[in-house]
Amino acid sequence: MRNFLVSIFFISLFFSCQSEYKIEPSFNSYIDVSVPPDSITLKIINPYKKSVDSVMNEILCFNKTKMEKGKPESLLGNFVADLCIYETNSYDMIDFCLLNNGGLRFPLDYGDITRGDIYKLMPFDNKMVIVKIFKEDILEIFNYFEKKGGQPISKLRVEIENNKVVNHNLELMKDTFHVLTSDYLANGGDNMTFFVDKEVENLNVMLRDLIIEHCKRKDTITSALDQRIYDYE
Amino acid sequence: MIMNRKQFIYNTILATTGLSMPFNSVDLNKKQKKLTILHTNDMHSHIFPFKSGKYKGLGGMAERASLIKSIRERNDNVLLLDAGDIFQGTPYFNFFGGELEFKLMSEMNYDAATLGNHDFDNGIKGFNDKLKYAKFSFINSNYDFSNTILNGKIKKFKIFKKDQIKIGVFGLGVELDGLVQKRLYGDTIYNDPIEVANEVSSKLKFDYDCDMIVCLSHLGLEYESDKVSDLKVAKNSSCIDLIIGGHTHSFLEKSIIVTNQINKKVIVSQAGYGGIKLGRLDFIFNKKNEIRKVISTLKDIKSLNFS
Repeated sequence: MRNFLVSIFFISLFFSCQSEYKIEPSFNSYIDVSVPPDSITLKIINPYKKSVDSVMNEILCFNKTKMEKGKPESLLGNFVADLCIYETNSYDMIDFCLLNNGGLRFPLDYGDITRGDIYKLMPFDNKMVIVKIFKEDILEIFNYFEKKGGQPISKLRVEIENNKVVNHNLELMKDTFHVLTSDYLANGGDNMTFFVDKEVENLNVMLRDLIIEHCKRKDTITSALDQRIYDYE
Repeated sequence: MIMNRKQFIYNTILATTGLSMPFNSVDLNKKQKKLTILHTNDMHSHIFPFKSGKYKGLGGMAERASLIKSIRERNDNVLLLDAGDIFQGTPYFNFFGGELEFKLMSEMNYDAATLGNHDFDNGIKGFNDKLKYAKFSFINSNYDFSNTILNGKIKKFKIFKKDQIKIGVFGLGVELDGLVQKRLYGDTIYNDPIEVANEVSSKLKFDYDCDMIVCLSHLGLEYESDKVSDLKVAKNSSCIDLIIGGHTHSFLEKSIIVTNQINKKVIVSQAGYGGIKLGRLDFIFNKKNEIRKVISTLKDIKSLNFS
């Protein structure tokens, strides 16, 4: 009898303790079935789709090389960084361009490139800026390369050996340098702390628009690796 | 660690009775209360199913709408929630600034969403301008918007009532500094998520008598660093029952169970990104509105057009 009462006591304790419930995976299969699009929802989407498609399907140029991002350098990274330098050549103080792989969101396939492809590559409304940095910041940038293993650059060449930058093409007699980058990175995005609180000139053009203009101007585009970041390992 | 004797016996009995008395055996005809929570996160303006890559044919907002409609037909008590980053990722955001996303979520009858970092991508003003298209609530508890145009438009928490069950929902946002440009988030103040979570959740439980407490979080599931995350919030909490997460784009095929400060369970769930998945959790309650069983599902949204 005593045992019986004790077990009743524990069973009631068990049920009073709210958190002691059971969790199990579902055997329901109805989420896994293919579903047709909801017609009311499609009706809402349609006018938006029409206006997006008419703009996005415009063919800008022909791409001769499939471009993807990567480290230490990449076809996609070189293409974007180089065109940034090319399209801003009226600013002759620019020493080099530094962007980030994280900002390149989609590869460029071989073949016709549409405006939509460039939106996929660069969906963010990041604007181009020139940041004035000091000589000591260059060392920070090198440290950054050593840690990150590379980022898209142009007009700059570095050689890395045993995780250290051992050679570069910058003229270190100068005290200040002008770096072409995006406002996102200039504000310290992707841990680019060396840009924070520096003098910034806004070029009032979005990185995406720069790419689009370049593609339209070029008719055909291509890219190549040139060991601009060379890792001896 | 020495466990006291009483505690040991108690735990042992719990374990053995748990094995010998599966809850499945509870008679379903006794009209159990069931709450179905459906959730998404990081939809990133993906209006249509993915056209290429690993997730080809998956996702799509019209497909999600059908699926949700069919689930609503079979279940009376549905809560549909989103854990942020509704914005950014396709031209639909660049062109219309989130208008279409909000309209479609309203059509699907979302109950609430929290703000992700990318929801600030057009600035506080850009978000505020499109808010009129959202017929659901935005909930966040650790951003202080008092000095911004969003003052009074974002709820600190919201209580939903389904079949006499009171569900308190609050929201947590990720630290904006370093992730979002200052000019975009403006005078939004970020407060410590763990402190805020414990404060709001105990208020919901003890002052508002909620039966269940849900945290909509855009903190991210977990990090290698000390950065605050859903798992940390769960571990340091004592009143939260469920965290619906986002930000890290984690596909949790099975919800994670965390033990909190008072040795109770916290469920942490996340449904990938891009509207590829719809998370589903069915909570079974007893007569006292206590959670007795949870069924967790995370399945693909497949488009008929691709299959």
